[in-house]
Amino acid sequence: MIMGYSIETIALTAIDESDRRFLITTREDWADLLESIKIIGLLSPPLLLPLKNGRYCIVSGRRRMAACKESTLLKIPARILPDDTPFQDCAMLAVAENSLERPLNILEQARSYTLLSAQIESEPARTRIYQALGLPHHPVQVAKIQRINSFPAMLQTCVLGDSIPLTIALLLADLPGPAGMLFARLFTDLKIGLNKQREILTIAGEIAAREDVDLMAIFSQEPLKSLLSASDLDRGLRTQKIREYLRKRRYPRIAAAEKKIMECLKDLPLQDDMRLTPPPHLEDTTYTFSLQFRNMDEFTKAHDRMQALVHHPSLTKLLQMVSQG
Amino acid sequence: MKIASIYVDRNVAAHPLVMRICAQLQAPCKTVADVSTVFHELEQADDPIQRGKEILLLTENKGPFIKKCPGTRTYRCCDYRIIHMASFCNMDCAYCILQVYFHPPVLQFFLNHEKLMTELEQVFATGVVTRLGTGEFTDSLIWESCTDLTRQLVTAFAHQHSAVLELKTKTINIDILKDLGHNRKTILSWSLNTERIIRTDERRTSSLNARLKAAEQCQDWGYPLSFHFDPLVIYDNCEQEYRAVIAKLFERISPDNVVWISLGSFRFMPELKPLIQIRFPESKIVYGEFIPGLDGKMRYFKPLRIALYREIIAAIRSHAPQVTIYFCMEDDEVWRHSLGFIPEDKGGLGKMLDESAIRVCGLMVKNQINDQSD
Repeated sequence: MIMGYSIETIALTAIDESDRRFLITTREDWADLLESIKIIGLLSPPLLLPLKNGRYCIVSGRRRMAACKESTLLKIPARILPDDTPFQDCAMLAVAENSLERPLNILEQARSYTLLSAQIESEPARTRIYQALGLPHHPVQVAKIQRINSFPAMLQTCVLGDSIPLTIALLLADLPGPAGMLFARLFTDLKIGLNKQREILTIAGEIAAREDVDLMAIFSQEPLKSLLSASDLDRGLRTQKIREYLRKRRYPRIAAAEKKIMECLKDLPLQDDMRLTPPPHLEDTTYTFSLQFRNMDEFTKAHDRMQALVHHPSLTKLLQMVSQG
Repeated sequence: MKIASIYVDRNVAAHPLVMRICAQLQAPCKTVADVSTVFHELEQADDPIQRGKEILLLTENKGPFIKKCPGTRTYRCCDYRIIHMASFCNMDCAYCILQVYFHPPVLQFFLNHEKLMTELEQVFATGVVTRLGTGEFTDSLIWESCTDLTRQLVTAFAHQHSAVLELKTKTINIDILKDLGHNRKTILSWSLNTERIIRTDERRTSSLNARLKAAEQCQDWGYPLSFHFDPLVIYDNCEQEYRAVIAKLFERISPDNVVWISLGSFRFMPELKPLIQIRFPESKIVYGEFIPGLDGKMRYFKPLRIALYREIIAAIRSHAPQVTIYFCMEDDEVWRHSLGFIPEDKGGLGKMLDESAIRVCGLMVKNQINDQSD
């Protein structure tokens, strides 16, 4: 049960800004508020909790207070909670004042969960409160989001900036040593989406596991070492080269076979109207040949070219690939 | 077998085997009205698979005991019959499909053997050559410490002429077989792998030497033998190591006493991969060059499979030119390029293996049995 509050005028110097225990917002700027406070004044007073030392802790309204300070106000009206307000009630107020006002970003959600979960032991009770405060409340999702609090600041920034999806960030946070930060920088730099991030991370991880080497060691070897720092190279091309290299190292025989297939197909006089498709991954044995034609004349000419194809050494080579790779 | 707790399905609580098994295993025993409570308890465990190896559920097989091997449309299956007398295993192999095949897996032993014996009698009565085995959903010989089912099965097969029983194992629990009258209708079979794979990916199994020594002992007791190189795992120098296994095998075993040798490369349902990565962090078997197979399982890239098969077949042939070699779950292309023929050339894979069983185990087909009784 949350208690009421009184409205009082408080000197800004009495507010302890260094006490950030109820901090939810990730925004550090207040320029937008400053303008409105100058013109129409402070509409919604900050919510403060009296401290034993006679000062006040901010429960909500940190940006408003900073804007007031900047606007040279010395005193502001504030909503003052009773000094015996339980921590849990303050936490709920801090979250509600933010979450019911605007959608919280993922780091703000993480801060909210940490703040709230510290005092509520039972999972059903926590779920009920998260739901009431407009937060995602599925326990698995909550657990994932809450982990953001323990991420290094750089990774938090990447998640907030949408350059690294949470799914990937969780994997990066689990990597030993500086590897996570290396990938975070790489993914941010390349501006690639979830699927490509996952592919690079998975393949590099599997190479490291198979070869018993450190993930960092893979990226300190050429050509990856150069590709990591080749900021002058087009992003798309860099991404492609990194992916190609990793794939070739992870699947050397498959990559070599794919290259051979491409060479054979390139060597065949197929032209635009003919298409030869080998079986996927060479697992099945059925090749597909398609021909486009508009009339008998085109068909007859194509037929002659098909005859030539039958004796082409690259076709023979291609058809033997299932057994020889 | 070390069991932490035994659950007894209320339907079999009065079965005489229950008391015997509980006394033998010396584990706390609890009767349950609904076996789903056991599965529920398992799901709550941190590692349900490991927990499933510590709990034994004694129950009845409500379905058929004898089932056709679940082959696929795309890869050649051998027309094998599974005797589903138990499920899961107390050994712990990284690649074991049972980790994801049952949801969740738990050691189960079925007690309604009367039904099993009735089904077997029906198979025997057909007089049709049939190959059956108990080692598909469990290891055939892990149950020796608590039951005498193996003894019953070996004896039942010894008294007929058209079917063989294959007991497939990675253990050396062979003592019970010593004085049994088997009439060569029971094949003792070992799954073999390189010492490296046994060490890294087959926890709590017997060593290669121990398996081969046990096989030799069974040979001395007159049992026909078979061997399964499945899963073959590809890694640097694996060919050399598999050749060494084959050399060791034929140092002890007479090729004439081998009914068949099967080869199968490592393949897995995609959901097994993360499980292996978590449960076997030191294992490298999932980091091979795999592609999605036509049955949805991940398989080694076909040219790699064929290359390894050729090496292994050449090694086997150098010791045992006549022994029957077959592939488990491979297509005609692999057969043709590895063995030089496809099963159809020999009347089908089932027929190939039947003939092998007739030759090595002395099976008789229906007409021969009738002739003898005339």
